[in-house]
Amino acid sequence: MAETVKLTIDGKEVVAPKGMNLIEAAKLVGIEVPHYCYHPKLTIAGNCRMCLVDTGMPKLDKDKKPELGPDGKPVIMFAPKLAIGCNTTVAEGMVVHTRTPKVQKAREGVMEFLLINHPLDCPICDQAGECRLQEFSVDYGKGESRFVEEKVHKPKQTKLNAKITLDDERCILCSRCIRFMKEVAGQDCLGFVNRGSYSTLTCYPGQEPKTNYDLNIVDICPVGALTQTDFRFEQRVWFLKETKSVCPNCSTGCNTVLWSREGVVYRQTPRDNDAVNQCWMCDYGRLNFKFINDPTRLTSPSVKSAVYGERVNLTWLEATRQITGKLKAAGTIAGIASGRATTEELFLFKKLVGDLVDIVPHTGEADGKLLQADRNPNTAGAKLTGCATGKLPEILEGIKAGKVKTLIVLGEDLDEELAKKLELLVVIDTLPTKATEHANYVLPGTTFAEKRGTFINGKNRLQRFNAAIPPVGIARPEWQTLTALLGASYAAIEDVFADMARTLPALAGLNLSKIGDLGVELKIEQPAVQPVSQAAEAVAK
Amino acid sequence: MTIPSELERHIDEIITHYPTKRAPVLWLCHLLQDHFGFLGQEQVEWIATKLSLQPINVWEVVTFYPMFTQKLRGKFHIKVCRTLSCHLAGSQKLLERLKDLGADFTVDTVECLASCGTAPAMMINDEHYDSMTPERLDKIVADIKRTGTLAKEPIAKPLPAHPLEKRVLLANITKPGYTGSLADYEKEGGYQALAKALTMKPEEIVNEVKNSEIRGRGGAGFPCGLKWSFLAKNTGKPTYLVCNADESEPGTFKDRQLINYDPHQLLEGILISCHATGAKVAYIYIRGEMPHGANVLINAIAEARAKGYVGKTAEIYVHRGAGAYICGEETGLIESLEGKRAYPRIKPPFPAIVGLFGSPTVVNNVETLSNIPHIVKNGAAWFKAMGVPGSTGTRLVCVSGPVKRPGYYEFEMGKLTMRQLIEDVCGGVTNGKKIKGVIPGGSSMPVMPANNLDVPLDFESLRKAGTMAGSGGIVVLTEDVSIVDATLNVSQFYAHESCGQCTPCREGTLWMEKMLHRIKDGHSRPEDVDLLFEVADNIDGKTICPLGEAAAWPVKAFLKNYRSEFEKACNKNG
Repeated sequence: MAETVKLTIDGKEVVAPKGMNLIEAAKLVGIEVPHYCYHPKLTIAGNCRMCLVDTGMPKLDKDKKPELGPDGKPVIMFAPKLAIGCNTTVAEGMVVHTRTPKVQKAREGVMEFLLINHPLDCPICDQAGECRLQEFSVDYGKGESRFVEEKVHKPKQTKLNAKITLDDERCILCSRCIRFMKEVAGQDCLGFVNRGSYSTLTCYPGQEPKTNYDLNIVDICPVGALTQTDFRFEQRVWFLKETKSVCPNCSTGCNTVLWSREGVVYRQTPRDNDAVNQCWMCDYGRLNFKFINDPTRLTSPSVKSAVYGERVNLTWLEATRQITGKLKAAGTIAGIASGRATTEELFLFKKLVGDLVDIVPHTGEADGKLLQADRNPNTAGAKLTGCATGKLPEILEGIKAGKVKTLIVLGEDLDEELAKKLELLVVIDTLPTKATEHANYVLPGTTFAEKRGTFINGKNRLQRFNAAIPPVGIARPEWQTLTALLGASYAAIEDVFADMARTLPALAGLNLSKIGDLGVELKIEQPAVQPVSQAAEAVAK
Repeated sequence: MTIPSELERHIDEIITHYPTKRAPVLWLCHLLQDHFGFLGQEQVEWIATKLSLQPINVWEVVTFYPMFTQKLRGKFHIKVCRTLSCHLAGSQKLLERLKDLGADFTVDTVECLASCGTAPAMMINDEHYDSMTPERLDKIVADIKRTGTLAKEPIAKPLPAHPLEKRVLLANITKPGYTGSLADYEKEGGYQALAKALTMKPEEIVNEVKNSEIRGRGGAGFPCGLKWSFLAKNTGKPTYLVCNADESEPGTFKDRQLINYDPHQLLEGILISCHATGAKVAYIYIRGEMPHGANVLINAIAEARAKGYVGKTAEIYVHRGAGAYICGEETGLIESLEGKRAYPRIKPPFPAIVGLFGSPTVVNNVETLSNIPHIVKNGAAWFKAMGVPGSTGTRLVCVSGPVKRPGYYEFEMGKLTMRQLIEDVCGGVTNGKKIKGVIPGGSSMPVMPANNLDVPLDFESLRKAGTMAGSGGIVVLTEDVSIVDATLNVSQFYAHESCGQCTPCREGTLWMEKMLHRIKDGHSRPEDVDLLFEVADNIDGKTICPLGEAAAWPVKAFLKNYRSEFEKACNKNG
């Protein structure tokens, strides 16, 4: 336990670890100290001056002991000037005022200064609704404008890079983006040019941000200066529903928020989780969600029919009846699952398919930060449920040799030649592929945005995500499809998880609500990350 | 783009003066601009490559310091000082003469050239011109046009001492034949204090300086010995001494004299202070607008190195600024010395703990350091015997504005009143005009109304009078001066010099300037008087560095003492 000190903030006693600043210490007791430039994951700049607070220390007598006043309490000596909360650390006996008239006047002053040269173009600003200038104007501003001079004009709607639009007139020069690019993204490319009120955020010509983390500066920009170009004018943020989710694009499993409205996901942003991604996410993951709203999404179960032409839609009931019948008659059943499937789905898939099952590895280059080489979000889940076996080459060879005649595929593709060799191919997926083209039965699945479930990340952290939007057409979450094919009686995903927790020791005692929004670390003996079999990958291609 | 090998050798030598790659950025900008005439993308990228930096790091610097230009200027760059004393002495008239000069000329206004006693001042390229008149300007321009070259402008002769002065620091400069050379300085007993100091333990020198009770002469008046004693010890890092020669507080022009006329006195002070503080390297940060002073120092350092003074116990390097008042603030100076935009640092930590290059650092003013040899040589008791308690020793004051004998004077502190200084030493106001007010310590200090001139010139007395001794730059304002105009001029300075880092100063200083422009131009509203005060008050005490106060105090004081002038200006349209 770190050493702590006791202090008083707005009359509330606070016990805070030594070295903590006053913004964080106030947060401990639910007091907001407004700020713009301070960011807990970046170095302190102290430039916005919004977090000014009144601080005092006990007056010490000759023996360096606190002098007591007539009321028996220590006499507090307040500093002549207000101090910035971000750069003032807690001290024993310190007394802090965050709401006195003196502090309020300072905040009103800072708010006014921040707004005098600001274009006040909220009606056409994408930040509106999530803008700190708006929020703190309401909470701490004067509510009137006294500025009648000509504003300073700066470049507007400039392309910082392909992903980000910069409006320098809205910029409040807090330097968060500069610090982020330098300190976190590792590219020292942003800076201020010119001086005084004419200071302007920019990058050197031809040296724009080009890391996989650039879009985080849009998140941390407290105002509308930096906006995500592909989200501009798409939606007003207050119309969007926020759903807690997990990024499905690699084994880190960055915690995210999906922003959706009327069945469409408009953006994905990182969600704080110090155990996983702090408050960042990579651009590759962030931007890779557009498939959710792909117009070619599979919307209905279907069967390949020689009689009626290429493909005939079925009801779920009919599809289930036909497939279960055929599966019963089949000999050896093989299964290829996806490492993007949820742990619950993989658990049921294993039950349905049996031993001849594996997942397909997907890899890329790790960037040493958040993006991992393993691009499957749930390799560890596949391993835990027994779906990651390394048998993929065996399965594929079996199909080639005609030994495997029945295959169920969950969210993966299959080579055309192999597909043609099968007698019964059932594919559960969200988008058309070679596999769905040749499948006897296609069962529409759901993306991570349309269902609930869990992933286990590369560090064996079990994380849950939620449904942001309804499935398309009559598609339904895969756990329901698998339940039907199994003839099982899980009424809700909680039931699947409960069964899983009974069966798998690593999940013993857990349930979906116990996982919480931040996940739990599982105790799994072996490293969960599946060694990528080069051979398997080659065959899969 | 090719860099001549001689220039690159010079650059390579400069780079060795610094422990970090980035610190020489300003020097390289100066050298490349001197050679190419401007700093375009090619130059910026060359510097970045040379110093293993990102181009943005260099570009940020180029655009921060007004002396650097991204576009080629005319062959003759005329820089007319527009700040208060020069403004009062008619710099506007000079500017009016400088229209349509042709492509060979670029005309700019600059902020205080630290020659207020010889206002109006101006520069053409590196030449400095005092006491300009429109007629003289016409002649200079005509000569340039005729010859196509710029004649050397001699440096003004030192001012003789007034009988009421007590010259210690300025004692040598008017001695017959004294040139400020090492030989001359030694002849007057120079470097004997260093010899004595080197026989003393560092603590002994620190104690002597502490006991002398000398307070910093830069503006804040912080006790020098105490500042030294704050230096972090046993950090495993080197200690640095920085001499603040960024004299740029409007009304102040004393350090210029100490550098130009007696550089070895300063060098000796630096070497002793290095010994006292354990610093092995000292940097003199001299403002960019003093190229002559920089050369004087570079030559003096070379002389002192040849004689074994410099380089034996400590190295001294000259670092040139490039036109930023904020570099006078010690942490802004440190950032600039590190090759960055001069953004003052948030404190704590203070430079004594984490300063230049992350090391314990002491920053002292030129005048403060020039006092050190005298304290070591003559002892703390001798020093303390001069001046009054709380304000020991002598102080250089600079007087500008419409007085008969403007200039720099050295007095025992507290032994002379403001009135004596203006009336007896400076011969009173020209043309028998009445005094309206006096700015006592550079334009950032609150103005004193005329009824308060009997205050003695020392730290405490001026503080009790509601103002501060500041940098010792005294500007006399007479009855014919429009206070609205003077306030505008001062506000324009601070808006121009605001670094732009923190909100209240960045936004507030320009707001005040714009408002004052409007008031002066007759587009004011009655509520502007109170609004102006409010804006100043919202800056005051809310900023990272004291520039906030420097910008707010004069406005508040002018409003407080001359409110009726503002009201008149604001009500005439209201």
